[in-house]
Amino acid sequence: MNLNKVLLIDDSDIDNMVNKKVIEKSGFSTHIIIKKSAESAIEYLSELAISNIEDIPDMIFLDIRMPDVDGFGFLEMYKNLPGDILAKSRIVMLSSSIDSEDHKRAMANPYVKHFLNKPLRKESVEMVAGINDG
Amino acid sequence: MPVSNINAIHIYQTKGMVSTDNLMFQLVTFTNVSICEGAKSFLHDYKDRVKTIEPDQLKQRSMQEEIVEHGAPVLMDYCIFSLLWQDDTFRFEDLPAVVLFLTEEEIEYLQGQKLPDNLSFIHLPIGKAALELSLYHSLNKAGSLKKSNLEEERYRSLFYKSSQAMMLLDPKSHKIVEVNKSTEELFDLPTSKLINAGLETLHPDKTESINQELTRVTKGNHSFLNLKYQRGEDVRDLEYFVSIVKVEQRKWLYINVQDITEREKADQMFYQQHEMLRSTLESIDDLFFTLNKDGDFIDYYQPSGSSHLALSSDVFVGKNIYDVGFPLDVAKKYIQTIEQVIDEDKSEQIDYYLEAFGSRLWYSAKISPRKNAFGVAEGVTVLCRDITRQKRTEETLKRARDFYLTLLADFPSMIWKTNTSKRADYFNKTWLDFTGNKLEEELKTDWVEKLHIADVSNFLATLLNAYLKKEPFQIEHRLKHKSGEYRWVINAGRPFYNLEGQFAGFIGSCYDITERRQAEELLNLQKSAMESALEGIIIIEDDDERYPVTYANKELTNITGISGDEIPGMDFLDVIGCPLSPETRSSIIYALKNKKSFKGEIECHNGKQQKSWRLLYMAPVQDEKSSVNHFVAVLSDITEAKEVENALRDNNRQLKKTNEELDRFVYSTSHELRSPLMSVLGLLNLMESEPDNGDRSNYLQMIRDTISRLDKIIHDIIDYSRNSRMDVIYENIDFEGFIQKSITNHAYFDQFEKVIFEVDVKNGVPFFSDKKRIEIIFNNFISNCLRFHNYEQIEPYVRIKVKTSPVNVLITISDNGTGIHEKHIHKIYEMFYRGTEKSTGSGIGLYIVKEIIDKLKGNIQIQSDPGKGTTFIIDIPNYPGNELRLFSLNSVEDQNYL
Repeated sequence: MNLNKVLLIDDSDIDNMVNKKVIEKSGFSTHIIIKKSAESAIEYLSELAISNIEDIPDMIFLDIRMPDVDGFGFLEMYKNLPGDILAKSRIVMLSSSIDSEDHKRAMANPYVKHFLNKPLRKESVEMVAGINDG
Repeated sequence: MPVSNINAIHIYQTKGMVSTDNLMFQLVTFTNVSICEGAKSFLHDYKDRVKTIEPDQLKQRSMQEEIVEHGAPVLMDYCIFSLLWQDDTFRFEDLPAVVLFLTEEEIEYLQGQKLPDNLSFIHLPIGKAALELSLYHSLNKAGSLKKSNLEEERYRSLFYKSSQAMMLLDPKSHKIVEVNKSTEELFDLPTSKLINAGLETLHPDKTESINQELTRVTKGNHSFLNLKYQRGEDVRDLEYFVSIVKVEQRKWLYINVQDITEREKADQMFYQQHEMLRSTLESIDDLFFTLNKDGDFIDYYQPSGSSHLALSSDVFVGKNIYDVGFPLDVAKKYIQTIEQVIDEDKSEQIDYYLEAFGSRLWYSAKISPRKNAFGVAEGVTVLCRDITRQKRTEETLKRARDFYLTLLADFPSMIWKTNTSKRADYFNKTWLDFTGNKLEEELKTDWVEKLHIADVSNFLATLLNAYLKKEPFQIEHRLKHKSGEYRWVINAGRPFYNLEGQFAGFIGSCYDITERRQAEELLNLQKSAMESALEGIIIIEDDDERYPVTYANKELTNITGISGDEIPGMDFLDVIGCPLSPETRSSIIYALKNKKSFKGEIECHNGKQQKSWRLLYMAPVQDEKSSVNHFVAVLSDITEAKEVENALRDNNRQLKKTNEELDRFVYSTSHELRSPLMSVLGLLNLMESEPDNGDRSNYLQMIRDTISRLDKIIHDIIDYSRNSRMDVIYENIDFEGFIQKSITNHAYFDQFEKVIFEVDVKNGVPFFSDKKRIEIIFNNFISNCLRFHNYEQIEPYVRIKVKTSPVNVLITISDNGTGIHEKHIHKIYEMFYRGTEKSTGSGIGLYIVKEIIDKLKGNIQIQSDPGKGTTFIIDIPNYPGNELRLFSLNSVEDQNYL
């Protein structure tokens, strides 16, 4: 279980810190990478596809509201990534948005598996992880 | 006979010596002695009383005076008389009386001469007594002798003065010896012409018969002679009564002449009248007869060729009316009427008929009283006329009248007739069907009851006027229908005249025009409505080639400005105004040609660049046969509506934009507000789930920071709200103070100490603007500079330059910070836009700055080099003058502006 790898994409340092701790506590993963912008996350994932397939995250927690390129912008870029990544990573939207439009739009994306509202809770991670296992 | 008074003057012709003794001898010898025995004896016996003078002595005045004094007659013979008669100086008239001794022949000489009245004749020979008598008469005549032979005088007077023309003729010679005045007058001849003339001179053509007749009378008969006498141009009928009279044993033919001309004429006239009457009675068609009281025929005149009892008068005269073949009832009627006529003394008329030759002959008899010379009715005269033809004509006429009456009765129009007294005396069946009355009832009801009360006076006035002028009239009024409602009728009357050509009243007919009138009223209403309409209404004729306007209401004139007189006949396309755009024009023409409707807006450009809009609805008008010959169009001026619409559209666009902004604002705001809250919540969850291992103070600090950020966001939102909500208030801006205060406000910032602030304010010209807004601008810029500065370098700086002018202020804010990437530059003024993950703010700051500068009608420009720095140049106008005063007035009220 601990072999699970997680990527957090969020511009908020506080949120990243809190989320990391919650995921660690859930026991789902201890291998947690944090990227503060969509561009840096894509860059990271592209590199993994080339050099280190092992580290391709099993789950990506993606924030929507970010400066420059937002969560949806990330998804646009993400679909062009190599198939290995697309096949392995499960994307979970994690946003403080309670706008149903955001929810609909996110869930319409084939790579998005879940939509969670901040703050992230242990139970939510377990629920998401359980499905992941199953 | 007393002769003592006799004095006489005897005149003799001296022939030598004459002695008184032989005076007579002288005289006798001078005259015809043989016939003067009596005179000779007289002169002898009266020689003392007779004075003998010569003719010349008589001429002496003294002698004449002596003679007048004695009143003595002057005796003279014819010789002396003719001697003196021819002497103009001698006046016989001055002598009392002159006695001439004349022989028969001498008398003839004097015939026809105008002789003095005082001249008497004594025929010679004459006896002494006769001479005495003659002298006596002549003296009497002269007035000198009182004694007279009255009886003879009377006879003579009777003879001379008698109105009867009388004459005496000598029975032997048949010559006239004596005539009176009337005879002169009758024959219009003087006595002198008549004396010694024979009757044959008066009646030349009857000489023989006259003489025979006179001869017969001489033998002792009397006789009447009727002779014609030519008197001037006149022919007189004379009747002579001739008889023989004896005077002093001498026979004379006495003739009395009567003018019977007038009597003859009267007789003639009477005869003619009688004949005329008879022929008249016989020539007229009427039968004329007279009856006595008992009905016996006295006279009977029948017209020639009359069909009435064509029998000769012999059949009737003397017979009773019962016995001449009249039907019994006719005869009885005659007898009764005769009694009545005589009793009442007035004419009666009876009509009866007789059957003859299989046909009925009608007679009309006028029976009048017949009176005798004393005015007593003895019977009757009957004028009997054959009236068969008249009867037949009447019959035909009656049938014709009945026919026309039936025709009138069944005539589909309502017909009435009035008599000369203006009262209705006839209504036809159609009328009675309308009013629901019977004729008797209808005749009894007055016009007032038939007509609507409001129409009565006008109707009666019209009728009265028509009667006065005997002219036709026409009037519209309401007439009471049997249903009780009033129907409008048009009533036309005209005078009519009977067969004799006399005015007999009026005849008229009515037509129910209620529907027409209602239609007219509706039409009028429709027309008024169209005139009152607040949109231009046009009716267009479809002439295939042309589309002339046949009607346009007033409003169209108001809209188009074309006068109402000009519009009819104008082409529709010219009327709807303004040069039409080719597209509109062809669309309308297409609709017209294809008989379709059209709806569209027409844009009009007046000369003055004023734009107006008109809305045109046009639709084909279908007639009963569903064919289109007209169009109706409604044109309205929609300029105002159009302007409102445009304004509304602009507003709407603005509103939509504002709404989108608001949506975005709410969405962004809610997210921006929620985001830090969730961070706090996450931290709290973490703190809850972890035992206190020393991180708690970190977490709390994080919570504090997050809340500060949240508060900053809320402040920004309030700033934004203020800017959009509050009016601009102009005050003198102290830039130096503002900038310093703003810098000081950011002293809490972590690396504040590292940044060098260079401030250069040149505000020689006072600058007026909104303090709060300027303050927000500086705060935002300084905050941004601090947050995005490059602290890696040796001297991070912020330079602020301010330069005022009467027109504006130029503010330059530059730094040598991280700069803004080109891809972000066009987005930096968007609300909540954050360029990088370094942006810890809300992303609302520059948005507010831009909004404020827009509000102050200023301008902002940016120059940025990523990694090198950024420069903002702000240009805000200065507002001097009136607006300052405006401010000072409002400043007190706006104290709560914080």
